[in-house]
Amino acid sequence: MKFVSQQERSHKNLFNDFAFLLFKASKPVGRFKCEILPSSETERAIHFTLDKDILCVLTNSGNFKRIPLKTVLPANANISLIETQPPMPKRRLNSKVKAQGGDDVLDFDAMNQNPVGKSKNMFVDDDADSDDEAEDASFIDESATGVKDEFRAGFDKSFDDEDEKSSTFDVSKYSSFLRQPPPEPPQEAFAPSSTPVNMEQPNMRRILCWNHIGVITSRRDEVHEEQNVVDINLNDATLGGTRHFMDSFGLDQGSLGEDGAIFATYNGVSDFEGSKVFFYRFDTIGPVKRKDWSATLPAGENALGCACGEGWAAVVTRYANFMTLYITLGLREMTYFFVVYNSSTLQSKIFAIVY
Amino acid sequence: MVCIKGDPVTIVGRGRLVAIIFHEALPLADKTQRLGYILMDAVEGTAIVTGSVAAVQKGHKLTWAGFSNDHSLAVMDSLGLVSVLSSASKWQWVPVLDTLGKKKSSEDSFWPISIMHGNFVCVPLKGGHEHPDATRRPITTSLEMHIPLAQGMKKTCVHFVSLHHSSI
Repeated sequence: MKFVSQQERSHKNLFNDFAFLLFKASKPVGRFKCEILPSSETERAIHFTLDKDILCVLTNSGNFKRIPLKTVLPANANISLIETQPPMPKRRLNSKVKAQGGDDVLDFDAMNQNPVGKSKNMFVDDDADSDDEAEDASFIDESATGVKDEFRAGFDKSFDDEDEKSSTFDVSKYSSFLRQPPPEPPQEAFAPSSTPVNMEQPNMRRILCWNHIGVITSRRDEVHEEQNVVDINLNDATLGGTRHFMDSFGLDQGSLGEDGAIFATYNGVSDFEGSKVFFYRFDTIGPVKRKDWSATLPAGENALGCACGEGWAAVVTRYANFMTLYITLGLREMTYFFVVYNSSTLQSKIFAIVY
Repeated sequence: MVCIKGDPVTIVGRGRLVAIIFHEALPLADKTQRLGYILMDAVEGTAIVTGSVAAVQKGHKLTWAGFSNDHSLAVMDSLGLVSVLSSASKWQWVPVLDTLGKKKSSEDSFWPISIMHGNFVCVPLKGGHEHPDATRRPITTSLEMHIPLAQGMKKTCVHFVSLHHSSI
């Protein structure tokens, strides 16, 4: 695979080539000045490295951000090359010549031994691969310098005093940091068998929960836009088949259980109150006040998930460093039964169980 | 009455059981999510069993959790492997279905709904969609679960018999 130089390229293509280079070399090839999100003054003059299709950006304010390329390019990204760092030490270049002569390549820098994407079978002594690695090495060398020239030609950015100043940015201070892959973010909370809110079409119907009991769907009402229409389709027709109600709380998560359905909002009701929790009971027999109930969580508590079953309903919430699980027995009024938490370590999370 | 280690990922319930899956530690460098679970009797408010979600494959994350009709906790990861935890398996995660092998194309996927009588009920998705279209009722399918074994042993493959959950 050869790097084909073209004079006219879109930003995206240029960037993709660099992305490929960075990916191929598995370490930063060059240093770039990258202006992302021009509206924000603090997010400029950046060091960046690339992890697959995630741009890992070190801003001059010391923040470390991970941005998917799709959201960056091409509209609000403006990238210009400051300096190309040789992707591998000189020793490697010499050993490349040796490798072409058929000698062993064991004195390669340990970091460059395995290009990304090529897994090495540790049980096989693959001398045959050494030629390929040497080809990779030469490819990176040529293309890195080629792109450097092309960047300087293609982007007629004047390297003013500011750029000169930033080009003396101490790489060694961050080199070990950049060489390491960034820490992986923990996955976000989700509701099983639910579809996310469609950001482009927020009025679209979405599935809040689908399980053995039935399906809950929700959509914005066409007439009263502050209200949602929540439809519950039960698999068991003896429970009543389809039910629906108008929701003015903005319930964005829900779960079906044997007795009814529990709903919650992520956002707090106000500054002084937390998430709203709403329980819809299937039973229509008995006093009305024992049918549905709603509750408001204390200030700062945001519901991350909810579930219910036979005689209980639960909401997992986030409150500062604490996680709280409320379990109700479906009574209209909740009373705090016990709250236990470990005060010795703020990192520990708690359940408070509320009957 | 119970402390959990980290931020919750999901909560699911059935009958009188509730399971909370949470972050046990920061993810590994290869993006493997380190998750733990706690299975509780929600009515009594006592923990039945806690442990790690070992069913999440290397480099993948959790995409679904649910209870089967015999009250076994089941999870699915982004690779498409469905695993079940029950007392019959001494609270070990047992892989019961590899949906990766059921795909006809690399863009296909299965959107899980529930597990009923040893069948995995799901919505088959085509064309790289991650979620079904909620505006119309998606068509569901059910896949028979069996423990994924090496090729060549399929004829003698032990079909997954629904693990009976004792005493609950």
